[in-house]
Amino acid sequence: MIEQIKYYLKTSWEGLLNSYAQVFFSLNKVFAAILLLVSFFDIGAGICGILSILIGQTTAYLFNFNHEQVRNGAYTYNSLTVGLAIGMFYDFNSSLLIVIFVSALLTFFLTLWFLVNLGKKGLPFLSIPFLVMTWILILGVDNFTAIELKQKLFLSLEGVQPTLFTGVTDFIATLPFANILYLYFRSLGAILFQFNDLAGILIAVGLLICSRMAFILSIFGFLIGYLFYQFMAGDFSQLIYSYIGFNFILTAIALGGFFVVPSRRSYTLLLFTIPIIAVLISALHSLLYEKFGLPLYSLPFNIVVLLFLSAMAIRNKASGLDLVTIQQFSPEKNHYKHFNRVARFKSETYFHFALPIMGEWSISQGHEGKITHKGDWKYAWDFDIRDEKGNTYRLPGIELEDYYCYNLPVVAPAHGSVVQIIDGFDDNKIGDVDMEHNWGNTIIIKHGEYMYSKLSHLKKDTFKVRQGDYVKKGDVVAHCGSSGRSPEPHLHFQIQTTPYVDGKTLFHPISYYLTKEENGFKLHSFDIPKEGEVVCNVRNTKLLTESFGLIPGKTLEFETQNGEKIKWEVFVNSLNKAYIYCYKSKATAYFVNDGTMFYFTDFYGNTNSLLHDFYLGAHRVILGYYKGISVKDRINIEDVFGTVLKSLHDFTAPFFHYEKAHYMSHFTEVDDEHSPEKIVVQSTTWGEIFGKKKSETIYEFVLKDKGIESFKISNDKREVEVKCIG
Amino acid sequence: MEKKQYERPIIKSLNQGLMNKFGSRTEYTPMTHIDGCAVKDLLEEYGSPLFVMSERKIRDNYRNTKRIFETRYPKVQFAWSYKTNYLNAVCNVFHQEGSWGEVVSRFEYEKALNNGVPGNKILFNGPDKTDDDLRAAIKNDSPIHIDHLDELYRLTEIATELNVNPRVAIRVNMDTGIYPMWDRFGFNYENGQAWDAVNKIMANGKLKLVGLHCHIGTFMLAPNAYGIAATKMADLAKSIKNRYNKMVSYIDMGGGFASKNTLKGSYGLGADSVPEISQYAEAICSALLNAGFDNDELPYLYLETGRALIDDAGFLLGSVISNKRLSDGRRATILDFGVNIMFTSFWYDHKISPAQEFGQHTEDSVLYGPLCMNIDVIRENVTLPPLKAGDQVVVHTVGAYNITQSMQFIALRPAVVMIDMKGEPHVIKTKEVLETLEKGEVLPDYLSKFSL
Repeated sequence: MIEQIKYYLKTSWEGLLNSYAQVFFSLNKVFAAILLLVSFFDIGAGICGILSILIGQTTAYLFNFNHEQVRNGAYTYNSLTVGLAIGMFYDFNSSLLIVIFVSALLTFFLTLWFLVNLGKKGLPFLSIPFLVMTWILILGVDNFTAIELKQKLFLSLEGVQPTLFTGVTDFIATLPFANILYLYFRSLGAILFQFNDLAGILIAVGLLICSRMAFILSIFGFLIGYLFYQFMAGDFSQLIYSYIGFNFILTAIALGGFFVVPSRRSYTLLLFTIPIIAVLISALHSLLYEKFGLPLYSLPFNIVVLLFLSAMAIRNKASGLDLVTIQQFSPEKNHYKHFNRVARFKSETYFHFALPIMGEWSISQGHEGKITHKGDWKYAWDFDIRDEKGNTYRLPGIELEDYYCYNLPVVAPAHGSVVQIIDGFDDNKIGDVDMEHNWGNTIIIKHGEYMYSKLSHLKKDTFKVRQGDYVKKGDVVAHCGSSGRSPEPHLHFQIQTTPYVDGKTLFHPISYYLTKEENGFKLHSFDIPKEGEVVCNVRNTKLLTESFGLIPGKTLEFETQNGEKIKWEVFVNSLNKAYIYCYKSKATAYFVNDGTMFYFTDFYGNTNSLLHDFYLGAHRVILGYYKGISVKDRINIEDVFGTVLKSLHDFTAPFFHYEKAHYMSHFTEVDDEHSPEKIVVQSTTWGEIFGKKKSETIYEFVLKDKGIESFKISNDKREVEVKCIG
Repeated sequence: MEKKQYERPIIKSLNQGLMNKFGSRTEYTPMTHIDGCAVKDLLEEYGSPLFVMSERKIRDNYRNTKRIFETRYPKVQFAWSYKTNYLNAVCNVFHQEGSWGEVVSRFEYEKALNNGVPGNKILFNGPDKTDDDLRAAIKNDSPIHIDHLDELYRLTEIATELNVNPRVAIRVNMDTGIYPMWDRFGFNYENGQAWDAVNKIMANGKLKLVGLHCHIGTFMLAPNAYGIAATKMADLAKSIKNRYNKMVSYIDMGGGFASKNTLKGSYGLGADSVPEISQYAEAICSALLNAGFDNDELPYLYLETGRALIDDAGFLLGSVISNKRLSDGRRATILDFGVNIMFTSFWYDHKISPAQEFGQHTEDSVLYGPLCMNIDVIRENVTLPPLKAGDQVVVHTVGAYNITQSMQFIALRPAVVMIDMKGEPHVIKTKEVLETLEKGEVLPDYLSKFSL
C-alpha cells in the first residue's frame, strides 16, 4: 500500500514538473522548477495550473492510461497551459474551480484524441488541445456570469504594459535594443501568460540552463520574425498583441532542434519557416481575432510545425534534413545522438554478408571493374588467389590445376535457401571463354525478400547442396572453377534483388572482413572490398562469443572494491532491441551482438553507474581474437567531456564539431591463441578538442570461463575494479 | 669470350630410346647459380663441400602450403618439425613466417625455447620424455603429446605433485590402409587403446586434454590415407564431445607429406609422381569439414609438415676428387662428400647436376664419396656428362634430415650457408674443425704421454 502511494506520488510529482518543462520541449527538472516559480508570479494562475495537472493525472490513473505518459507530462502539459490561462484571466472563486475541473477534463480527453489521431500519422499534437480548449472557453463562458474576467484585458491586450517587477522593466530600458529585448522577454513570458520582463528573463535563463541550442534557437527564431516584420514594414501591434511573437520562438525550437535534428540545415530552414509564421500571424489575426474575437495564441506555430512534419514524412529519400527518430527531449541529445549514430552506423545494412571464401583471397576485379563489371553488373566482385609475385598460378600455368584458387571450396556468404543451381558446364581451358553460357556453373541463394547472392564460374559436379536446401553462412556450397566466361579459374560474387542468373547487381557492402596489410590485418565494417585487396573473413573465438553472448534472461552480478553488489539483467524491448538493465541505478544500455561484433547503441540513465562504464568500455568488441587488430569507434561527446566543455560546445555544434570523442579496443593478453581460456580486452576512450587529446580512460576486461571475470576502469580521476560474481 | 671447357673423350654404346629432335642426346641442365649466387664463388669462399639453404625457397614453400590449407579450412596452424632441420637459422625462418615448433627431445625443446618460441607454442612429441622433460614442458605450458600409458601415468603423478593441469594430447595410430602401419607410436584407434587413454585422462581429471595427434607415416604417397586418418581423428573428437561434452582444441595431423625426391626403386622421377600438397590438403580438410563439427567448435588443424617444406630448399655443393674405371668397365667418380653428410642417399636417388656448362654427351657412372668405407656410395647409377677432377656438382633436395642426421665419420661436417631474400649468402653453421670433434673428449692423465 505504502509502496503504491509512494509510486503514485513519485509519478505525479515527476509528471507535474515535466508538464512545465514539456511546454518548452524539455524534461529538465531545473527548468521545470523555474517555470513553476514563474507561473506563481500570479498565485491564482499558479494554483489553477497545478490543479489542472492534478485533475489530468487523476483521470489518467482512474481510467488506466499509460503511466509513462503521465510521468513525462505528455498528457498534462496542455492542461497546465489551459489552467494557467484560466487563472490569469478570471478571478479566482469557487465557480472558477468548476470551470477548471471541466476544462481540465476536456483538455485531457482532447489531448488523448489528438495524441492518438495525429500519432497515427506520426505527428505530435503540440498545443492543439490547449488552443481548442481556450477557444471553447472564450466562446462558451459568456453565458456563465458566475465567473468574471479580471480587469486585465483578456480580449484586448493591445499594448499591455507589465505591472509586475517594473524595476526590471526600467533596467532593460537602459540597455541598447531595449525594444527588441522587451519584445523577446515578454514573448517568452507570454507562453506562460506572464506578461512581464522578469518572467521572460527567468525563462530565458532556464532555457539556457537546459539547452544551449534551444536558447540560441529562441533568439534566432525571434530575430528572424522581428526582422521580417521590420523589413516588410509589418504592423507591430500584431506582435505586441498578447506577445504573439512566441510563435517564432516555439517554432524555432521545434523545427530547429526538437523534431528536426539540429544542424546547419535545420537552422537554415528557419530562415524560410519563420516568415511563414509571420504571414500566418497577419492573416489569421485579421480573420480569427477581428472576426470572431479569438486570439491566435500558438495557432501559427501548430500549423507550420504540423505542415512541415507531415510534408517531411512523405519524402522519397529522407536525406538532408533529418527528423528526430527517438525523441530525447533535448536538442543537444537529439543532435549528438543523431550524429553519433550517423558516424557509427551510417553504412550499416539490415542484411549481413560475409565473403564467400575460406582463407585469404585477392579481389581481382572490384566494383565498376575494367574488364566485365560494367553496366548492370558493376557491383560485383571477382576473387582469385595470388602469390608473392602477384601471379595467380604456379609455373607453367597452362593447366587449370596450376591456378591457386582452382577447386578450392566456396562458401555461402550468409544464411539462406538455395533457389537455383546451374551445373554441367565444363571448365574452360586456360585462356578460353564460354560466351554462350556466360555465368557457367552458378548457385543463387535467397537471403530474404529481394535479397539474393550469386556465385558463378564454379566447377562442374562440385555442388555440396541442392536446390531448396537451407545453407548457413560459411557452409561449403561448391568449388571454384573456370566455367562460363572465365579465361582462368576465379570466383564471381554478386548481390542482387532477383533470383535470375542474369540479374543485375545491387550495391551492398560486406558486413565485416579483414584486409591483409603489411603488419597484420585491418578490420573493415560495412565496406566494399576494393580491387587488389587481399581479403578474408573474420573468424570467431569461442571465449569471446560466450563472454558477450548476452541473451535475454542472462544476469550478471558484480562486486566493487568496497563490497557493493550490482546486478544486471538482459532484456529485449517491444522492438526486439536487447538491452542490459541495472537494478541498482535503473540505467539501461542497448546493445547489438551480430555474431561478429558486440557493440552498444544507446544508453539511458545515470552516467555515474557501473553500467555506463561497461557501456563505454565495451562499446565495440570484435568477437574473434586477432593479435594486433584494433577496433575503432566513435562515442558520444557527452560521455567524455564535462558539463562546462560540453555546454560550450553546444553553441557551435550544429555548425561544426571541435570536440570529438573516440573509442578503440584491442586484445592485450591471451593464454592460448587457438582455444583461449583467458583473454584481456583493453579499450580506451578519449576526447579531442581541436585535435588535442584529452581525458583518456582505459578499460580492461578479463574474460575467463565463458564470461567476464573482472573489469577495470582507470583514468586520472579514479581507479575502479569490479569482479563478476555471478 | 670464355675459354671452352675441355671435355675428355668418351666411348658410348648407341642406345635405343626415345628420340628428341637432337637425336638421342641428353639435355642436361647445369646448375651454375643458386638464388643468384654462383656455385663456383660459394665453394671458393666457404670451401667444398658446402650445404646451401635457400631462404626464398623455404618461405615460398611455407606460404604456398599455408595458403593451400587455409583456403580449404578456416583454422590452420603449422608447427615446424625440428628434427627435419634444426639449424637455428632455418627454424627461425619458419617462426618468422608464423610457424610454431614441434620437438621430440629435450635438446630440441631447449633449442626451440632458446630460439624464442613461447613455451605454449611448442608441441612436445616423442616416446622418450623423462620426468625432468615433462616438468619443463609443464612449466612452460607446452602441449605434451602422450605416447604411451607409462608416460600418461608418470605425467599424472607429476601433475598431482605440482598441483597443475598440464595441457596434453594423445598420439593416436590407426589403420589408414597403408603398409607398414605405424603402430609403434601412440595408442591404437581400432582396438580401443586410444579411447581407453582418453577415458583415463578424463577420469583422473589431472590432465587437460586439448588435442589429438597422429602421424600416419613418412613420405606418404597416398593422400587418401590422410583423409581416412582425419575422419578417424574427427570421430574420436566427436566421441569425446559426446561422452564428456568437451571439444578438443586441435587435431594434429602430424607430417609425412612426400617431397619431390625420388625414392630408391621407384619408377619415374619423384618430382613427377609424388602427390601435390593440395591433394593432401583436400583429403584432410574435406574430411574435417564434413565431419559435422559445430561451426563455432571447429577444432584447429595442426600440421607438423617438415620434409615437404624444406627438402627442396637445401642443396649440397661438392667437387670431383677423381675419376676411375671399375673392373667391369663402369666409370666411377669420387666426390668430396660422402654418406656421412648425406644420410638420405640410402633412401633416395638424388638428383645431381653439374655446376658448369657441358657438352651434349653423357655417360653412366657410379658416384662414390670420399670415405674409406665400402658403403660410401652416393648414386649407384647416374647419367652425367663426363666429369673431371675439380669439377663441381650440385645435389638437389637435401634440405630435410641430412643436416640433422649427419655425422663426423672419417670426414668432418661442412659449413652451411643460407642465401637470403636479396641473394646474399650468410654462414649459418661453420665448417667443423678438429676442436669441434674433440670438444667434450677427456683424456685421462695417464694416457696423455707415450713414446714411440
